[in-house]
Amino acid sequence: MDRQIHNLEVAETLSLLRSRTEGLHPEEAAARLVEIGPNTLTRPPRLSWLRLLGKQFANLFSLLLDVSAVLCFVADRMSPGEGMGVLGWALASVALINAIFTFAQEMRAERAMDALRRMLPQRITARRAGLEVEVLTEELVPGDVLVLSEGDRIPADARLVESHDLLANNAPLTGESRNVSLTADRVVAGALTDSPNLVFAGCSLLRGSGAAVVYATGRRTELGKIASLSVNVRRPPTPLEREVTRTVRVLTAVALVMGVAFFAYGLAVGRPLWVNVVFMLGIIVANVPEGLLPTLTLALAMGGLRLARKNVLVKSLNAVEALGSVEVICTDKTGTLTRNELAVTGVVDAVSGEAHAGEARRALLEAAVVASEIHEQAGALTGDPLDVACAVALRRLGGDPLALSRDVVRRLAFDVERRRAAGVVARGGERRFSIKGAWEVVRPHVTLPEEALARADAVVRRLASDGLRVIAVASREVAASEVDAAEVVLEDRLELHGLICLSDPLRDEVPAAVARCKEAGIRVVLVTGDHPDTARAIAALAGIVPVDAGEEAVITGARLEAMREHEIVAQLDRGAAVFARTTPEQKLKIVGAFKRMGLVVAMTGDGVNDAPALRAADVGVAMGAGGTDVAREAAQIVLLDDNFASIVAGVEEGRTVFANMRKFTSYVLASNVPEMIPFLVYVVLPVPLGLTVLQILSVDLGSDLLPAIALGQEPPDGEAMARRPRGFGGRLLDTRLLLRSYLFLGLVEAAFAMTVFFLVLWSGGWRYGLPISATDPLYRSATTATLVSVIFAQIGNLVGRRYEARSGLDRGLFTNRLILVGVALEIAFAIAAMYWPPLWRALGTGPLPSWAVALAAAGAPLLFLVDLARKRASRPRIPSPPR
Amino acid sequence: MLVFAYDGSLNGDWVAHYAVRFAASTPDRCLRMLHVHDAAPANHLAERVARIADECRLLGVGFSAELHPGASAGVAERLIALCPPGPGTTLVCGARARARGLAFLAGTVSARLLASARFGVVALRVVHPGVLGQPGRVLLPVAGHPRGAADAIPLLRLIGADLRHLHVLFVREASRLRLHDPGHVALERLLAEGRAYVARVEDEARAALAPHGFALDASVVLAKDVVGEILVCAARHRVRLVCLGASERTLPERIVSGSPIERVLRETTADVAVYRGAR
Repeated sequence: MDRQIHNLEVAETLSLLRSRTEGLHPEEAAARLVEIGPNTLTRPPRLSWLRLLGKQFANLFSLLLDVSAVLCFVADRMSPGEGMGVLGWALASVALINAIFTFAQEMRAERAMDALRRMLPQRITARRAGLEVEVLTEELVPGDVLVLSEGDRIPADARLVESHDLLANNAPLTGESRNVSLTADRVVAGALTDSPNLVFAGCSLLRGSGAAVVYATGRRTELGKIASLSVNVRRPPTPLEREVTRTVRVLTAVALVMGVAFFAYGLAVGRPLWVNVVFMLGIIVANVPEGLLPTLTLALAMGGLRLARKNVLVKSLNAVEALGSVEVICTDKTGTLTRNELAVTGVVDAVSGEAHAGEARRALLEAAVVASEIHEQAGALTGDPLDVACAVALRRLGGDPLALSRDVVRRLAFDVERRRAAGVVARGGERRFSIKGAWEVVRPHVTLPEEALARADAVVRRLASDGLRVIAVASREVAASEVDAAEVVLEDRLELHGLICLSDPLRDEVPAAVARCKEAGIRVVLVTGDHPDTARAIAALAGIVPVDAGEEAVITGARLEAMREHEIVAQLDRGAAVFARTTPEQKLKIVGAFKRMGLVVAMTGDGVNDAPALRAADVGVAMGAGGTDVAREAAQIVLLDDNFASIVAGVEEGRTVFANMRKFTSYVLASNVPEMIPFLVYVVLPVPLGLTVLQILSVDLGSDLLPAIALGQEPPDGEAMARRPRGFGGRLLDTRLLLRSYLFLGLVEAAFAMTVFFLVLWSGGWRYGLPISATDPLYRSATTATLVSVIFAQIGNLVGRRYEARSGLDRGLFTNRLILVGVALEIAFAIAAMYWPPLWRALGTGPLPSWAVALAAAGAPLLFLVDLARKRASRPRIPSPPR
Repeated sequence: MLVFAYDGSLNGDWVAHYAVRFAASTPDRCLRMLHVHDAAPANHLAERVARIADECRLLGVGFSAELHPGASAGVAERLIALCPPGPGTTLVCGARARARGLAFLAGTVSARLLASARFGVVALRVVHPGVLGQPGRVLLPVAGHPRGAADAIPLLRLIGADLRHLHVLFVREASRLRLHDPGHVALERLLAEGRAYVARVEDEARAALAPHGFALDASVVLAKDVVGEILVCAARHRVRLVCLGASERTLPERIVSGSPIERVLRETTADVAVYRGAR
């Protein structure tokens, strides 16, 4: 026997909650408030922001910078005047900037909670000791009796005890745009959350009046559970987050290992302790790309801005890139693939398939409107698109759907599980029960012989396979005593009027978008609550399945319900691409199956009951125009135009962002080698140090920063969608990139820079093995030569990194003006380092003779040409794209 | 014998629904309610007890109520003394309705009862008062213990006919110290081992609950945050009750890793039943 709160009679409910229709006494309410706590949603722990900020300083990268900064301060104390204090402050600043960037992103979770809290009112009228009083909603307790009226927002989950023409909008919880007619009667069967005798926190009343006894408050409400989940359960890390973590770990490990190794070597050869500490810090600073994390964040932010211009709103920066790694897109039908412009295109006899005319047509449409919920707003009909379409069709025949709707004495709202709506109309002394819904739902209740039913089955299949949405309409006369009978009584022995055919045209751009997905190696899967044949027809039109795809291409919700996850995986492995008659819970199963296959999944959704699937997917995509607030909060991406084609544009942008990240990572890492080699050479050989630590920082945080950002802004190169998705396996930092950056580009830069360094020293009279003071003008010029050589070589590297295999000049420098600005700044910095006295003092640089400047400047074309030769040697020549 | 330790509170009323439904699943269909009061019986106790009795009557469950003054030893000790020891006795009790600090179970009478292990104990935290003890959809996280689901079977039998869908979740815990994600081959091996274990648990559950028809599903995941995965799975599958075995962690383990049960109790979106059998 089912005995949940909605299965009980009113008296029993009040008894269970130890309440009365007059409400609780104030003392009772106060005692319960102490026991149960206030009616508020879960709040993040106090000072959670402080803990979150602290977490940013606790990762390996920040710890390394922090420890290095501390060592610098200690070294400055031990040997003042060598600039170690300045270095320490610089490293500490970098750690702080990195922490603030990531902290700002993580604070967005707080904003998600605010949206949910705003769904609750602050005050409500309740009965206390027989009096109607206004109470703070925070003070509501189980047993309180709420006095409800039109326009009220429900503050807690409650069971109706009185209902007068109450109509609720449960869309914030259920996602259903249909409004729900409420009743105080007990409900015999059905899920608690679908029950018409309950009202839920966060939902609103559109009409009527009544009273309800609270049974759940705060986090025990349905809304409270959603809130709790959004605060406490973190989305699993995106592919990019995993990659950045891995990249930082690898680079930090390399830095630490090398630093410690040369510290040990220095001790072994008898160098003083603090000298070795300084060298170790130098190697660590040279290896750690201090500007990488802010550059990554900026690239994602700019990618997000570009996506917004394409109607794709990104709520989380990492989602920009996550879109680019998507391998499967699970999409809705209505509104995403189609225009959601339902129109009645046919009214047919179910058995013969012939079009109805005259009275039969009108009677069918009237019955359909009785089983609908429509209103008038600003002269137009509003309500569920299906209901509105039926009403519009009736109006075209000269009927008055609004007047008919007013005569409806009982409504049975659309049931998403049972897929039907119904109503009872009282007109001219006659009462009639009407039902409209999916044919398979109506079929068991109509009085037709088996042969006729079989013919109707064939008609429905034929119409659905044409891509039409098919709704069956049936009705019967009922006695006055039957009006309030249980549905199972009313649904018996119905007279079938016929079928309504509705079309919802495919969006024009969808077939091309699906084709692009297939070229890009992305699988598109249709998940819809619609009829299997309709789903297959739409999928064929969209190009998701072949035009001649048979029934086996479609998996229905009924089959899905019985399947275990590994069985679903097996079906997906065999190429299943259409799921029909699915419920939101089954969407989760589909997401789970794809994730079990190790694929990166994007899932679209618009209702609150889609929220779990949106959170479970790697990329949740909510509808901006037709979706609910809760779906938008659960998702990382919001399609402002609800258009599938916008998802594809987002994927291209996401792939471009990742490709750009690899470009600037490679660019930044290449300069690590010429920064590190001078230290290694200095430790091993009796030669001066080629580049000081401050000069290294001036490259990593100065001249390299804007060019790296510029590489992050490269526009899509047309190749992004021609490659397979990278999925979880794609690496930001792979062996090829490391080898190219460190062992090729970096070594070339290092060899070139050290050559210029020694040439300047030699030309000034220094000889091998001779010591030279750090303040000697010759030494300062020599280190300046190294610095300027690295900067110019990086210009060549910058241009070369624009393309993986082609020359970086192929697309023209003016396609990305930020590149030009970056180059200009690098040149300006190099000039300033050579000729601006304040920079001499800060970095320990000095002027260079003109021949040395010309030689250093040759580093730009040198590196570009050497890199181009490598590209040509390693790949066949790829024709340049048309300008 | 099914015993219900009732504290006379609103939270206790919620737990009572479970106790009554559990009693309806036992062979003798009897519920023995114990109320031990420290100073005085709870407010409106007679009225509350009468309501529980009515619910038992509706379900055809025999009911007996006993009021006992608390001894100097404390409520938990008094309850232990009143209940026959051994696996034939199951005591149902409740966790806190509101956390004290961050704890819903630690320091409570229920925690001491669980720790005593003299008889089976089920401590319930109710966040779904509307389901009135009929969860329907149940999540059973398992930890790879060699005993499989043996400890959970008695609790699942108590849920009985109210069990409509059972989801078994095995979270294989990835080391927090691991510096890199396991490669594909290692991952598949871990998951395959997990699936084999879960298949055994499913067979045990199916065999033990044979008279009842229910849907059975399972998943195996590799994650660093076991509790997070439990919560996500519960939300994902619209679970109404999560069944957790009482923790066997030592004090050092609790200091380092915290208490996963408390975290589930704190962050749950479903009712939670913490169970432990008699030793």
